[in-house]
Amino acid sequence: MSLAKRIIPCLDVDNGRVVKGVQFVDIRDAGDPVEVAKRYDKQGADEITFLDITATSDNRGTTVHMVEQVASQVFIPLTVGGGIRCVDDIRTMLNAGADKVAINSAAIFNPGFVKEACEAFGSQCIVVAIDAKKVSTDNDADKWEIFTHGGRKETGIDAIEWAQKMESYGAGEILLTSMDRDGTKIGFDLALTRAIADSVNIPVIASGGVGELKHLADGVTEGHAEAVLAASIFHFGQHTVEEAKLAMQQQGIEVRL
Amino acid sequence: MSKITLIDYGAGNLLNVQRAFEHCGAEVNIATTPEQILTADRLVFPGVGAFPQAMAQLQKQNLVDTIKEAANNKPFLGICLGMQMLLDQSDEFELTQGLGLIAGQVKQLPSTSIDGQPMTIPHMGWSQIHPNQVQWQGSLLADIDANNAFYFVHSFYADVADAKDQLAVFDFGGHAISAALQKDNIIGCQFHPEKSGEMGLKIIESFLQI
Repeated sequence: MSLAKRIIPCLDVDNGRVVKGVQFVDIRDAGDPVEVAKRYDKQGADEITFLDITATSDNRGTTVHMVEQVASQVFIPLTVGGGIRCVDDIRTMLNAGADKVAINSAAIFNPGFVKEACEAFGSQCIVVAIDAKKVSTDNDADKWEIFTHGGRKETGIDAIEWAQKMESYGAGEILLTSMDRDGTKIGFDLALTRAIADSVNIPVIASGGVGELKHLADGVTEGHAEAVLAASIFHFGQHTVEEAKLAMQQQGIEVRL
Repeated sequence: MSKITLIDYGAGNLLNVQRAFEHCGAEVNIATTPEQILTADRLVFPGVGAFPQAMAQLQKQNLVDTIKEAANNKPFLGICLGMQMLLDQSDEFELTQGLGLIAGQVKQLPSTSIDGQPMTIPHMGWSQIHPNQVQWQGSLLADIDANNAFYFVHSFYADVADAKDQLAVFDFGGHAISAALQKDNIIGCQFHPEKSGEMGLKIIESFLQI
């Protein structure tokens, strides 16, 4: 085995509870973050990502407490994203027990922040989250741009150029979410994933659209991702992380079992 | 209850190492002075960061000679940078002297595989470890079976002078790279046992039983 491809369950956290993705009509409580994280750890998750979906300043204390609780009971890498805006936010999360932080909007408003963060804490703990949406029409060559505010606000920034820029600024990983696919359950945007993964040398985590186990394997084999992230297929018992790994292994992908 | 002392020199994620040891039932003390190190039962030397700064900080806290002395007669576990600092020297940024407890050099991971393909650095993620020339029997890895994986995140590695000090290796594009070192009571692991799930906790438990 060389480096195993990773499966990363993603927990959207709202005010200290795991919730099912906001894009669904039926917003369901998926449990206490500590219990959910422990369950995924037992199932063999390679890492756990928390996205603080409210990320307001009132919420910050709750999130810090939650990270502390999880880090004292779950001994695999933890990434925390949502509302990471300054070096102090990163320090707070790392001190609480996060191993990495995901920076999204703050990187767009102030790209130098990514550089500053990597110099202060090392590239290995800085993940840049990219929300991309296809802007080309069917007759043109594929083109994706960066969107903010949950896919509502366009920035005009080309996704591939942006990923390369973030790599040159020191980012250790890219968490790539297709806003076209997020919540659709029809699979990753594989063309997008491959376009980004092939144009940078840092690991790309594919996200957005997983509805069945095959989609996870596709992200690696066709999307060239180093890791795959999913939320809802794991939250309500549709599949376990272990089942996902076995399915990936059957496709010839090296996983940690 | 087993007691361990964590050496705190301002480099690294002390808290997560502490939490993992506490989870395994250890009483954890934090040492910042020579006296605290010399009175420890077992020493854990963690580290995340850059070699030159970490060595400079050890010198500033007057810990270099103390660690060398203590490492000779106590169970001693270096983790990641804490393992690399056990070697003679490192060429991370600039040539820097290490603690010289295990013969060898710290070098940058090879940028290409043995068949010339570019390698991704840092080496970040889960890799399987296996014995090279030394059997695991009676070591900290005695309970680890062949189907294993541990969590790594590093760009430099320990190139040991004597293969007898290399307890475990991992495959990096066909290169066998040090995953764990052992020389007498001094043990080092390049991976993070505190972040390697159940198998990592097993190693921590074994260390507490030495």
